[in-house]
Amino acid sequence: MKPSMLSTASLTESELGQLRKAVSLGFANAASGLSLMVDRRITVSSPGLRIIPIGQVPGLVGKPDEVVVAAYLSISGDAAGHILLVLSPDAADDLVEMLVGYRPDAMAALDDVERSALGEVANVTGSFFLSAIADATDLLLQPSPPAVIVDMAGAALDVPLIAVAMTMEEALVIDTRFADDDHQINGLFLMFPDVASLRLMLERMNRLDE
Amino acid sequence: MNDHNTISVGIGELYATRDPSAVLAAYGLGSCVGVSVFDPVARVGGLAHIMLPSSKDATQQTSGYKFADIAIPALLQRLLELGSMPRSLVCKIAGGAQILMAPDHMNSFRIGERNIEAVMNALQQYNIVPKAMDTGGSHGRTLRLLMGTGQVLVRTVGGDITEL
Repeated sequence: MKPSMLSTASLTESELGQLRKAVSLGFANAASGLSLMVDRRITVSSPGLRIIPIGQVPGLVGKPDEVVVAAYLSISGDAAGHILLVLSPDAADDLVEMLVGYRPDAMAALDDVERSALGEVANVTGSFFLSAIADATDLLLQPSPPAVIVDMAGAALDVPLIAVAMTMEEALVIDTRFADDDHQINGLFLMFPDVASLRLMLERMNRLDE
Repeated sequence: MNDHNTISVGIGELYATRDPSAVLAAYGLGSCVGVSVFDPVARVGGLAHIMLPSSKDATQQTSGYKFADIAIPALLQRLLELGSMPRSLVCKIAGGAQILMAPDHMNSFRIGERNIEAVMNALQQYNIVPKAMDTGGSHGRTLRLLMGTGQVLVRTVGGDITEL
Protein backbone atom coordinates (compact mmCIF):
# COMPACT_ATOMS: atom_id res chain seq x y z
CA MET A 1 0.00 0.00 0.00
CA LYS A 2 1.42 3.35 -1.02
CA PRO A 3 0.84 5.95 1.69
CA SER A 4 0.90 8.73 -0.88
CA MET A 5 -2.37 7.43 -2.32
CA LEU A 6 -4.38 9.08 0.39
CA SER A 7 -4.01 12.64 -0.75
CA THR A 8 -4.78 14.40 2.50
CA ALA A 9 -3.23 12.00 4.97
CA SER A 10 0.05 10.60 3.87
CA LEU A 11 0.54 7.85 6.36
CA THR A 12 3.95 6.33 6.92
CA GLU A 13 4.41 2.59 7.29
CA SER A 14 4.98 3.00 11.02
CA GLU A 15 1.81 5.06 11.40
CA LEU A 16 -0.13 2.39 9.55
CA GLY A 17 1.37 -0.18 11.93
CA GLN A 18 0.32 1.89 14.93
CA LEU A 19 -3.15 2.26 13.56
CA ARG A 20 -3.40 -1.46 12.85
CA LYS A 21 -2.40 -2.21 16.45
CA ALA A 22 -5.02 0.16 17.84
CA VAL A 23 -7.85 -1.14 15.66
CA SER A 24 -6.88 -4.75 16.41
CA LEU A 25 -7.39 -3.98 20.09
CA GLY A 26 -10.65 -2.26 19.21
CA PHE A 27 -11.96 -5.21 17.20
CA ALA A 28 -10.89 -7.70 19.89
CA ASN A 29 -12.82 -5.66 22.41
CA ALA A 30 -15.83 -5.45 20.08
CA ALA A 31 -15.73 -9.25 19.75
CA SER A 32 -15.76 -9.63 23.54
CA GLY A 33 -18.78 -7.36 23.68
CA LEU A 34 -20.60 -9.48 21.13
CA SER A 35 -19.50 -12.69 22.91
CA LEU A 36 -21.09 -11.42 26.11
CA MET A 37 -24.33 -10.68 24.30
CA VAL A 38 -24.72 -14.01 22.54
CA ASP A 39 -22.88 -16.09 25.15
CA ARG A 40 -20.55 -17.81 22.73
CA ARG A 41 -17.00 -17.28 21.58
CA ILE A 42 -16.58 -14.73 18.77
CA THR A 43 -13.30 -14.34 16.95
CA VAL A 44 -12.15 -11.58 14.62
CA SER A 45 -9.82 -11.81 11.67
CA SER A 46 -6.74 -9.62 11.57
CA PRO A 47 -7.96 -6.23 10.38
CA GLY A 48 -7.47 -4.97 6.86
CA LEU A 49 -6.45 -1.35 6.42
CA ARG A 50 -7.11 -0.30 2.86
CA ILE A 51 -6.90 2.96 1.03
CA ILE A 52 -9.01 2.41 -2.06
CA PRO A 53 -11.05 4.49 -4.51
CA ILE A 54 -14.54 5.09 -3.13
CA GLY A 55 -16.01 3.24 -6.12
CA GLN A 56 -14.28 0.04 -5.03
CA VAL A 57 -15.57 0.02 -1.46
CA PRO A 58 -18.88 -1.77 -2.20
CA GLY A 59 -16.82 -4.64 -3.66
CA LEU A 60 -15.49 -5.37 -0.17
CA VAL A 61 -18.95 -6.43 0.90
CA GLY A 62 -19.79 -8.52 -2.14
CA LYS A 63 -22.32 -7.93 -4.88
CA PRO A 64 -23.67 -4.41 -4.52
CA ASP A 65 -27.28 -5.36 -5.25
CA GLU A 66 -27.42 -8.32 -2.90
CA VAL A 67 -29.59 -7.73 0.15
CA VAL A 68 -27.75 -7.28 3.43
CA VAL A 69 -28.71 -6.39 6.96
CA ALA A 70 -26.51 -3.53 8.09
CA ALA A 71 -26.31 -1.35 11.16
CA TYR A 72 -24.82 2.10 10.93
CA LEU A 73 -23.29 4.27 13.64
CA SER A 74 -21.59 7.60 13.24
CA ILE A 75 -18.77 8.57 15.56
CA SER A 76 -18.57 11.99 17.14
CA GLY A 77 -16.66 13.66 19.94
CA ASP A 78 -12.95 14.46 19.60
CA ALA A 79 -12.77 12.45 16.39
CA ALA A 80 -15.25 11.59 13.65
CA GLY A 81 -15.93 8.56 11.54
CA HIS A 82 -18.45 5.91 10.54
CA ILE A 83 -19.08 2.32 11.48
CA LEU A 84 -21.10 -0.15 9.43
CA LEU A 85 -21.78 -3.68 10.56
CA VAL A 86 -22.82 -5.89 7.64
CA LEU A 87 -24.51 -9.29 7.91
CA SER A 88 -26.15 -11.62 5.42
CA PRO A 89 -29.93 -11.89 6.03
CA ASP A 90 -29.37 -15.47 7.27
CA ALA A 91 -26.69 -14.45 9.74
CA ALA A 92 -28.87 -11.59 10.96
CA ASP A 93 -31.77 -14.01 11.54
CA ASP A 94 -29.43 -16.33 13.47
CA LEU A 95 -28.27 -13.44 15.60
CA VAL A 96 -31.83 -12.29 16.32
CA GLU A 97 -32.79 -15.85 17.27
CA MET A 98 -29.91 -16.02 19.75
CA LEU A 99 -30.91 -12.72 21.29
CA VAL A 100 -34.70 -12.81 21.41
CA GLY A 101 -35.37 -16.56 21.31
CA TYR A 102 -37.30 -16.79 18.05
CA ARG A 103 -36.36 -16.72 14.42
CA PRO A 104 -37.64 -13.84 12.28
CA ASP A 105 -39.92 -14.79 9.41
CA ALA A 106 -37.55 -14.88 6.46
CA MET A 107 -40.19 -13.53 4.08
CA ALA A 108 -41.31 -10.63 6.24
CA ALA A 109 -39.63 -7.32 6.94
CA LEU A 110 -37.85 -7.13 10.27
CA ASP A 111 -40.16 -5.97 13.04
CA ASP A 112 -39.26 -3.45 15.75
CA VAL A 113 -38.08 -6.08 18.22
CA GLU A 114 -35.79 -7.65 15.63
CA ARG A 115 -34.48 -4.28 14.50
CA SER A 116 -33.76 -3.16 18.02
CA ALA A 117 -31.97 -6.46 18.77
CA LEU A 118 -29.69 -5.90 15.77
CA GLY A 119 -29.31 -2.23 16.69
CA GLU A 120 -28.20 -3.33 20.14
CA VAL A 121 -25.58 -5.63 18.58
CA ALA A 122 -24.21 -2.66 16.64
CA ASN A 123 -24.41 -0.49 19.73
CA VAL A 124 -22.43 -2.94 21.86
CA THR A 125 -19.81 -3.83 19.24
CA GLY A 126 -19.42 -0.16 18.25
CA SER A 127 -19.14 1.04 21.85
CA PHE A 128 -16.65 -1.69 22.79
CA PHE A 129 -14.60 -0.90 19.69
CA LEU A 130 -14.59 2.82 20.40
CA SER A 131 -13.79 2.48 24.09
CA ALA A 132 -10.62 0.53 23.21
CA ILE A 133 -9.63 3.22 20.70
CA ALA A 134 -10.50 5.95 23.22
CA ASP A 135 -8.24 4.28 25.80
CA ALA A 136 -5.36 4.10 23.34
CA THR A 137 -5.72 7.75 22.34
CA ASP A 138 -7.23 9.42 25.40
CA LEU A 139 -9.88 10.92 23.14
CA LEU A 140 -13.60 11.16 23.74
CA LEU A 141 -15.36 9.05 21.09
CA GLN A 142 -19.12 8.67 21.07
CA PRO A 143 -21.24 6.42 18.91
CA SER A 144 -24.60 7.70 17.63
CA PRO A 145 -27.71 5.59 18.16
CA PRO A 146 -27.63 2.74 15.67
CA ALA A 147 -29.71 2.72 12.48
CA VAL A 148 -30.60 -0.70 11.06
CA ILE A 149 -30.75 -0.92 7.27
CA VAL A 150 -32.16 -3.86 5.31
CA ASP A 151 -31.35 -3.12 1.70
CA MET A 152 -28.98 -3.71 -1.19
CA ALA A 153 -25.35 -3.63 -0.03
CA GLY A 154 -24.64 -0.67 -2.30
CA ALA A 155 -27.52 1.30 -0.82
CA ALA A 156 -26.34 0.60 2.73
CA LEU A 157 -22.79 1.64 1.84
CA ASP A 158 -24.01 4.91 0.33
CA VAL A 159 -24.61 6.05 3.89
CA PRO A 160 -20.97 6.20 5.09
CA LEU A 161 -19.56 6.77 1.60
CA ILE A 162 -21.40 10.02 0.91
CA ALA A 163 -19.76 11.49 4.01
CA VAL A 164 -16.33 10.22 2.98
CA ALA A 165 -16.77 11.45 -0.60
CA MET A 166 -17.32 15.05 0.52
CA THR A 167 -13.61 15.40 1.18
CA MET A 168 -11.88 12.41 -0.37
CA GLU A 169 -11.34 10.57 -3.62
CA GLU A 170 -10.28 7.53 -1.70
CA ALA A 171 -11.60 5.93 1.41
CA LEU A 172 -9.54 4.58 4.25
CA VAL A 173 -11.44 1.45 5.16
CA ILE A 174 -10.67 -0.62 8.20
CA ASP A 175 -12.39 -3.97 8.05
CA THR A 176 -12.53 -7.26 9.86
CA ARG A 177 -14.61 -10.41 9.63
CA PHE A 178 -16.07 -11.79 12.81
CA ALA A 179 -17.48 -15.24 13.37
CA ASP A 180 -18.37 -17.72 16.08
CA ASP A 181 -16.77 -21.17 16.13
CA ASP A 182 -19.34 -22.85 13.91
CA HIS A 183 -19.63 -19.82 11.62
CA GLN A 184 -23.28 -19.28 12.34
CA ILE A 185 -22.65 -15.65 13.16
CA ASN A 186 -20.49 -14.30 10.39
CA GLY A 187 -20.22 -10.72 9.37
CA LEU A 188 -18.17 -7.74 8.40
CA PHE A 189 -17.27 -4.78 10.55
CA LEU A 190 -16.29 -1.70 8.54
CA MET A 191 -14.91 1.52 9.93
CA PHE A 192 -14.25 4.71 8.01
CA PRO A 193 -12.23 7.15 10.10
CA ASP A 194 -12.36 10.79 9.20
CA VAL A 195 -8.94 11.68 7.86
CA ALA A 196 -8.45 14.81 9.99
CA SER A 197 -9.35 12.72 13.04
CA LEU A 198 -6.84 10.09 12.01
CA ARG A 199 -4.00 12.62 12.36
CA LEU A 200 -5.18 13.51 15.83
CA MET A 201 -5.49 9.85 16.83
CA LEU A 202 -1.94 9.12 15.66
CA GLU A 203 -0.55 12.15 17.51
CA ARG A 204 -2.27 11.04 20.70
CA MET A 205 -0.98 7.50 20.35
CA ASN A 206 2.56 8.83 19.93
CA ARG A 207 2.23 11.08 22.93
CA LEU A 208 0.88 8.29 25.13
CA ASP A 209 3.66 5.96 23.95
CA GLU A 210 6.39 8.35 25.06
CA MET B 1 -30.87 -11.88 -17.88
CA ASN B 2 -27.77 -12.27 -19.98
CA ASP B 3 -25.05 -10.44 -18.07
CA HIS B 4 -22.41 -11.26 -20.61
CA ASN B 5 -21.81 -7.71 -21.74
CA THR B 6 -22.80 -6.01 -18.55
CA ILE B 7 -20.65 -3.04 -17.67
CA SER B 8 -20.91 -2.09 -14.03
CA VAL B 9 -20.84 1.66 -13.56
CA GLY B 10 -19.60 2.05 -10.00
CA ILE B 11 -20.34 4.75 -7.49
CA GLY B 12 -18.96 8.08 -8.76
CA GLU B 13 -18.29 6.72 -12.27
CA LEU B 14 -19.77 7.31 -15.70
CA TYR B 15 -19.66 5.35 -18.94
CA ALA B 16 -20.79 6.02 -22.51
CA THR B 17 -20.80 3.64 -25.46
CA ARG B 18 -22.08 2.83 -28.95
CA ASP B 19 -21.87 -0.92 -28.37
CA PRO B 20 -25.36 -2.38 -28.98
CA SER B 21 -24.53 -5.54 -27.04
CA ALA B 22 -23.65 -3.61 -23.87
CA VAL B 23 -25.81 -3.41 -20.78
CA LEU B 24 -24.80 -0.52 -18.54
CA ALA B 25 -25.68 -1.15 -14.89
CA ALA B 26 -25.62 0.90 -11.70
CA TYR B 27 -26.06 -1.61 -8.88
CA GLY B 28 -27.42 -0.92 -5.44
CA LEU B 29 -28.36 2.74 -5.81
CA GLY B 30 -29.36 4.05 -2.40
CA SER B 31 -29.21 7.80 -2.03
CA CYS B 32 -27.13 7.75 -5.22
CA VAL B 33 -28.82 8.52 -8.54
CA GLY B 34 -28.39 6.56 -11.77
CA VAL B 35 -28.78 8.85 -14.78
CA SER B 36 -29.19 7.04 -18.10
CA VAL B 37 -29.19 8.90 -21.40
CA PHE B 38 -29.89 7.21 -24.72
CA ASP B 39 -30.04 8.53 -28.28
CA PRO B 40 -32.36 6.19 -30.21
CA VAL B 41 -31.28 7.69 -33.55
CA ALA B 42 -27.52 7.57 -33.16
CA ARG B 43 -27.76 4.45 -30.91
CA VAL B 44 -25.44 6.03 -28.36
CA GLY B 45 -26.00 5.76 -24.64
CA GLY B 46 -24.44 6.42 -21.29
CA LEU B 47 -24.92 6.09 -17.58
CA ALA B 48 -23.68 8.11 -14.59
CA HIS B 49 -23.76 6.87 -10.97
CA ILE B 50 -24.00 10.10 -9.00
CA MET B 51 -23.36 10.35 -5.28
CA LEU B 52 -23.52 14.01 -4.25
CA PRO B 53 -25.35 17.13 -5.45
CA SER B 54 -22.67 19.71 -5.97
CA SER B 55 -18.92 20.01 -6.21
CA LYS B 56 -19.35 23.32 -4.35
CA ASP B 57 -20.19 21.30 -1.22
CA ALA B 58 -16.79 19.64 -1.24
CA THR B 59 -14.69 20.84 1.64
CA GLN B 60 -11.69 20.66 -0.63
CA GLN B 61 -11.12 20.39 -4.33
CA THR B 62 -11.85 16.89 -5.52
CA SER B 63 -12.29 15.68 -9.04
CA GLY B 64 -14.36 12.86 -10.38
CA TYR B 65 -17.88 12.25 -11.49
CA LYS B 66 -19.45 11.77 -8.08
CA PHE B 67 -21.05 15.22 -8.21
CA ALA B 68 -24.20 15.89 -10.27
CA ASP B 69 -22.95 19.28 -11.46
CA ILE B 70 -19.80 17.69 -12.93
CA ALA B 71 -21.09 14.29 -14.03
CA ILE B 72 -24.09 15.47 -16.08
CA PRO B 73 -22.16 17.87 -18.37
CA ALA B 74 -19.37 15.27 -18.71
CA LEU B 75 -21.82 12.51 -19.63
CA LEU B 76 -23.57 14.67 -22.25
CA GLN B 77 -20.20 15.73 -23.67
CA ARG B 78 -19.16 12.07 -24.06
CA LEU B 79 -22.41 11.28 -25.83
CA LEU B 80 -21.93 14.21 -28.23
CA GLU B 81 -18.43 13.00 -28.98
CA LEU B 82 -19.88 9.58 -29.79
CA GLY B 83 -22.25 11.17 -32.29
CA SER B 84 -25.48 11.82 -30.42
CA MET B 85 -27.74 14.77 -31.15
CA PRO B 86 -28.77 16.83 -28.09
CA ARG B 87 -32.38 16.97 -29.29
CA SER B 88 -32.88 13.22 -29.54
CA LEU B 89 -31.55 12.31 -26.07
CA VAL B 90 -33.89 10.29 -23.87
CA CYS B 91 -33.03 10.53 -20.20
CA LYS B 92 -34.34 8.24 -17.46
CA ILE B 93 -33.29 8.31 -13.83
CA ALA B 94 -33.60 6.13 -10.73
CA GLY B 95 -32.40 6.29 -7.14
CA GLY B 96 -32.23 9.16 -4.68
CA ALA B 97 -33.77 7.21 -1.82
CA GLN B 98 -33.58 8.20 1.83
CA ILE B 99 -31.94 5.11 3.32
CA LEU B 100 -31.61 6.41 6.87
CA MET B 101 -34.84 7.63 8.36
CA ALA B 102 -33.38 8.34 11.80
CA PRO B 103 -32.97 12.03 12.63
CA ASP B 104 -29.66 11.28 14.40
CA HIS B 105 -27.80 11.00 11.14
CA MET B 106 -27.60 14.51 9.81
CA ASN B 107 -24.75 13.96 7.38
CA SER B 108 -27.07 12.09 5.12
CA PHE B 109 -30.01 14.41 5.74
CA ARG B 110 -32.22 14.51 2.62
CA ILE B 111 -29.18 13.60 0.53
CA GLY B 112 -31.21 11.48 -1.91
CA GLU B 113 -33.72 14.25 -2.45
CA ARG B 114 -30.96 16.83 -2.90
CA ASN B 115 -29.23 14.55 -5.40
CA ILE B 116 -32.42 14.34 -7.50
CA GLU B 117 -32.84 18.12 -7.36
CA ALA B 118 -29.25 18.66 -8.47
CA VAL B 119 -29.57 16.13 -11.32
CA MET B 120 -32.76 17.84 -12.54
CA ASN B 121 -31.10 21.26 -12.38
CA ALA B 122 -28.02 20.08 -14.25
CA LEU B 123 -30.17 18.45 -16.95
CA GLN B 124 -32.27 21.59 -17.26
CA GLN B 125 -29.18 23.54 -18.32
CA TYR B 126 -29.30 21.38 -21.44
CA ASN B 127 -33.10 21.55 -21.78
CA ILE B 128 -33.41 17.90 -20.87
CA VAL B 129 -36.39 16.71 -18.84
CA PRO B 130 -36.25 13.05 -17.76
CA LYS B 131 -38.78 10.99 -19.67
CA ALA B 132 -39.20 8.59 -16.76
CA MET B 133 -38.12 8.48 -13.13
CA ASP B 134 -38.21 6.02 -10.28
CA THR B 135 -36.87 8.04 -7.39
CA GLY B 136 -37.25 8.70 -3.68
CA GLY B 137 -38.70 6.30 -1.17
CA SER B 138 -36.44 4.44 1.23
CA HIS B 139 -35.24 1.42 -0.72
CA GLY B 140 -32.32 0.53 -2.97
CA ARG B 141 -32.52 0.08 -6.73
CA THR B 142 -30.46 -1.28 -9.60
CA LEU B 143 -30.74 0.50 -12.96
CA ARG B 144 -29.82 -1.13 -16.26
CA LEU B 145 -29.65 0.51 -19.69
CA LEU B 146 -29.91 -2.03 -22.51
CA MET B 147 -27.96 -0.51 -25.37
CA GLY B 148 -29.54 -2.80 -27.96
CA THR B 149 -33.02 -1.42 -27.40
CA GLY B 150 -32.57 1.65 -25.23
CA GLN B 151 -34.76 0.05 -22.59
CA VAL B 152 -34.16 1.05 -18.98
CA LEU B 153 -34.94 -1.56 -16.33
CA VAL B 154 -35.09 -0.90 -12.61
CA ARG B 155 -34.92 -3.66 -10.05
CA THR B 156 -35.94 -2.84 -6.50
CA VAL B 157 -34.73 -4.50 -3.33
CA GLY B 158 -37.77 -6.76 -3.32
CA GLY B 159 -36.61 -8.24 -6.62
CA ASP B 160 -39.28 -6.76 -8.90
CA ILE B 161 -38.05 -5.52 -12.27
CA THR B 162 -39.93 -2.72 -14.00
CA GLU B 163 -39.26 -0.93 -17.24
CA LEU B 164 -38.98 2.83 -17.00
